[in-house]
Amino acid sequence: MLKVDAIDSYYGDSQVLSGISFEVGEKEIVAIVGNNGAGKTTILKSVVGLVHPRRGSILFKGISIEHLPAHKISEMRVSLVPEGRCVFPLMTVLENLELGSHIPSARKQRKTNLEKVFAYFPVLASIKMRAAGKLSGGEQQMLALARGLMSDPELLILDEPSLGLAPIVVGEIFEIILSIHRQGKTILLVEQNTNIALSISDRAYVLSEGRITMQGKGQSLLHDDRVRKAYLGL
Amino acid sequence: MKWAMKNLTLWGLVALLLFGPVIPSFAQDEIKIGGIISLTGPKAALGQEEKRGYDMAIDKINSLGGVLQKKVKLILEDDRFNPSVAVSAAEKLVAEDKVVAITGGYGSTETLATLAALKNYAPVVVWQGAGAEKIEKLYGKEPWFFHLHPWGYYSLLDLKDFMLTLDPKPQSVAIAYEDTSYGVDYSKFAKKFWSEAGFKIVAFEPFKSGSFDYAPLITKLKAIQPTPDVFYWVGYVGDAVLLIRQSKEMNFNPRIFADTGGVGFPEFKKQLGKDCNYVLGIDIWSPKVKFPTSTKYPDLFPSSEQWLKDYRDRYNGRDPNYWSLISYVALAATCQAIKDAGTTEKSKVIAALEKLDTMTPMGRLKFGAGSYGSIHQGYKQGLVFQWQEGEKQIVFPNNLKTGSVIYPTPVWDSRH
Amino acid sequence: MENFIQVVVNGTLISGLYALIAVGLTLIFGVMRVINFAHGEFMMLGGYTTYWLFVLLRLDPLLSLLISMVVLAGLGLIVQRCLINPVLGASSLNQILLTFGLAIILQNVAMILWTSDYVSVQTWYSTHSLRVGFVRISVAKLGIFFMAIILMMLLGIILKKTETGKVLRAVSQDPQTAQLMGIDINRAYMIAFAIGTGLAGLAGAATSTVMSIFPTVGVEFIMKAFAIVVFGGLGSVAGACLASFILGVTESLVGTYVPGGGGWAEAVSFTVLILVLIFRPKGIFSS
Ligand SMILES: Nc1ncnc2c1ncn2[C@@H]1O[C@H](COP(=O)(O)OP(=O)(O)OP(=O)(O)O)[C@@H](O)[C@H]1O
Ligand SMILES: [Mg+2]
Repeated sequence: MLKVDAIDSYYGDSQVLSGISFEVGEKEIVAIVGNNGAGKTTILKSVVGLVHPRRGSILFKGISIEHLPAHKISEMRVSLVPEGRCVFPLMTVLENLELGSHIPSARKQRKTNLEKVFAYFPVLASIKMRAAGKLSGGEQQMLALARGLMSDPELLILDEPSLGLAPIVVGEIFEIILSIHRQGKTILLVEQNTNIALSISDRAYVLSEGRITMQGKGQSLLHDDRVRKAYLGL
Repeated sequence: MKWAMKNLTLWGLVALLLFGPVIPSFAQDEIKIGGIISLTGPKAALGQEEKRGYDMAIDKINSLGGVLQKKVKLILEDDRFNPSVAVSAAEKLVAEDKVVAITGGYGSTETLATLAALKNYAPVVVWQGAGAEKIEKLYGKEPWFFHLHPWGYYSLLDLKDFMLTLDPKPQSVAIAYEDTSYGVDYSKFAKKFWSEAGFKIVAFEPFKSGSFDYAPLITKLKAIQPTPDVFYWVGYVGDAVLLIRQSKEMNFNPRIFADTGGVGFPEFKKQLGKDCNYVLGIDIWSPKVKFPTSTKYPDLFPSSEQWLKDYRDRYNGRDPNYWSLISYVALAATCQAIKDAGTTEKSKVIAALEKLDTMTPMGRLKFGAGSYGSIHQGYKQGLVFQWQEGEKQIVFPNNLKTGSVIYPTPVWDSRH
Repeated sequence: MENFIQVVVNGTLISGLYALIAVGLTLIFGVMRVINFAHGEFMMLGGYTTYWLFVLLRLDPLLSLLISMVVLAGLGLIVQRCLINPVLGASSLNQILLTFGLAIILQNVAMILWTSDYVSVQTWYSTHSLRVGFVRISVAKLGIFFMAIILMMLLGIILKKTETGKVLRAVSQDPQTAQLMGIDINRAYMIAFAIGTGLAGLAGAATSTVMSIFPTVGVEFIMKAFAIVVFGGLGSVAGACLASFILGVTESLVGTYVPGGGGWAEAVSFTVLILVLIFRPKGIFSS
């Protein structure tokens, strides 16, 4: 579904990614793990068009998208749930969700999609008139996830959904992510919480200083000594 | 290509910076006169009036063969109604352009700054604007300084004399003035002369020139009991228009509305329509008051009627404000003096200006002593006019009168 | 007491005009993070549009108000696309210089085209006033005030209820995330700029009926508008409305009751600006 081929991305003159290649297949859940500042977020930004790679190509369902502006890529039903949640703080939960279905194809389905996400996140239904900025971290993460689902995306991209959450809430969130995946969504997941990421993913890539250093099945990486040393602290 | 274009512009700019100031000095067959007026900025409407007079004068002089067999070139500087800009303009005219004489002026604040800067150079200055008495006190005795516009206090003395002729005599006066040295100066004299003449000053209020809401001021004046007989303000045309409009809105009814500045402008009538009626002002010139052709310089100073016709022909029927004419006279008189002197040498030009005695379309021009020590004061006469049926009628002094004053001003609710 | 009511009425009426200008300015800033120093000049052009429609076609300002608004919104679109968009990524100094330069150019173009004479539109309601007890209420100003209120409510509804309004709010809160929602932020910028300049055009049209229009008229208003925008919280439409009202009434009170108040009234906005910047840089109504 998504095929990233040898992309180099920069912020200004400083190169952050070099020769990144990876793939996400239909209905897969693929993880990218790596340390702080490795460039995980930059990969995702490159995919959704917030950063344009200088070299390399990105194909989504066979169409090259590396030159498209972000809103065009969203319209192709690629949905990124950004790092740090980035809910619209002064808008209500409901308004945030409505904006999640801003793209024309989703706007028609707004009602049914709303029902669907409220089924995943019943909490949100009970606080839908509250300002998003006033929610707790866990609620905000749920809102961000729900908003990302409102466009009924073909590819759902998650950037560190566990960031800054209490362990119990992390568990809850990943339950939901798994159940979303079981419903047939393709997911690309970025995490610093390597343990969880590797244990739930079909395949995973290890990123270090802007390069992919390892790849393989989630479970096998989880048991790889190097990974255990470097990322799991074992 | 784009790069080349950019470079070309850049080199052009560099060339201009390097050679710009040099170029004019090739043109030695010109006599240069400076003019400092407000072409842009808050008082640009007035500066444009002055420029129209200048343009007419310069064409006239050059069509008469110029001065000393040379073409006269007017170097116009825009002071943007800003003293520091005015100062640098003046310094540029003297130091860089090396003009023979400098004319210009309207605002007293800019004039004070300009004259302070010019004092070091002491060039010939024939100044048509600024009526603040402070200027007279500070620079009136300078041999190089010639001043055309009547000092402000003349208007206020004229208005006082006029008010004393009214029946019943007004008792109380409310004064409002813009917070510039012009406003402060005029209002100070108004207060002094009028209270000495027995009028009671019941309000003395500053306002910011160019405000757009005078409702607070009017509300304040309206609250004074009994209503002031005279409302006099010192301001610019925009202020005058809004003050009258808002007086109407608030139904403020003094017996007399009077101003010594803005109400004289054609815009005052144009913007107010019939609401301009009954307002009084002072002009130092009126198209209705006729002056004959100069016997000495009939081409330069035609009769007032002829000058008016020339002006209207040139500017599509537009009516001049006296600022056009006084600027015309300032420039024309300066050129004539150089001609009479036969040289651009400063002392000779000054002597020629002192000797000048001629009829002009504004009346007789002969530089003489003013009341506060100046030695080169041009005009002194003032004409009190009243807007009547959309026209200015001279109502004072009696020998120049073109109509009788309508007094008291009808209350707003009775006017339709 | 009658006098006091009159003073409050005066201030309230003028605040509608302030709001029209300030709200556009704050909307543009909120969505685009650009301070439009040329905002007053759009107002000036709106005034001239109404004036010329009146002079040439005898069109009543009540009708041409809307035309001025549309014309200025259109002009805003063009300016946004051709001039503002290219500097959106640039430093704010560049943006300030650009909009400031644009202001000067527009002033000078107006001066060349229409001279610096004061012009205004004279209609029967320009100086007509209602009498309520001892209080006089200018019909035209009252009309402008109500128009401003209606427009502000309309704008509020648009921002609150419509998809476009939500898009504008989203872009103002987080432009990057807004793009992830499939929002074309360039389009949002254009809409915000056009609404802002349209409102400024309307304010100019209104000004031409109750006051005067001249090439630098915008300068008189823009400083107040800045004070209001900062006072109400940068980017806050509701804050700007409330701040307009407070400033209008305060100016009126100071102008009437403080001795020599005519000069002080003008200083109110600057005083407010400085005090707010020092003590509550996020605006007085921010929590
Ligand atoms: N907007 C930016 N401008 C310049 N440099 C940036 C920018 N964003 C990130 N970087 C730099 O790029 C590198 C990669 O950043 P990125 O955010 O992709 O890392 P990450 O793997 O997502 O880290 P984290 O785990 O902290 O989220 C870092 O060195 C970071 O400092
Ligand atoms: Mg990251």
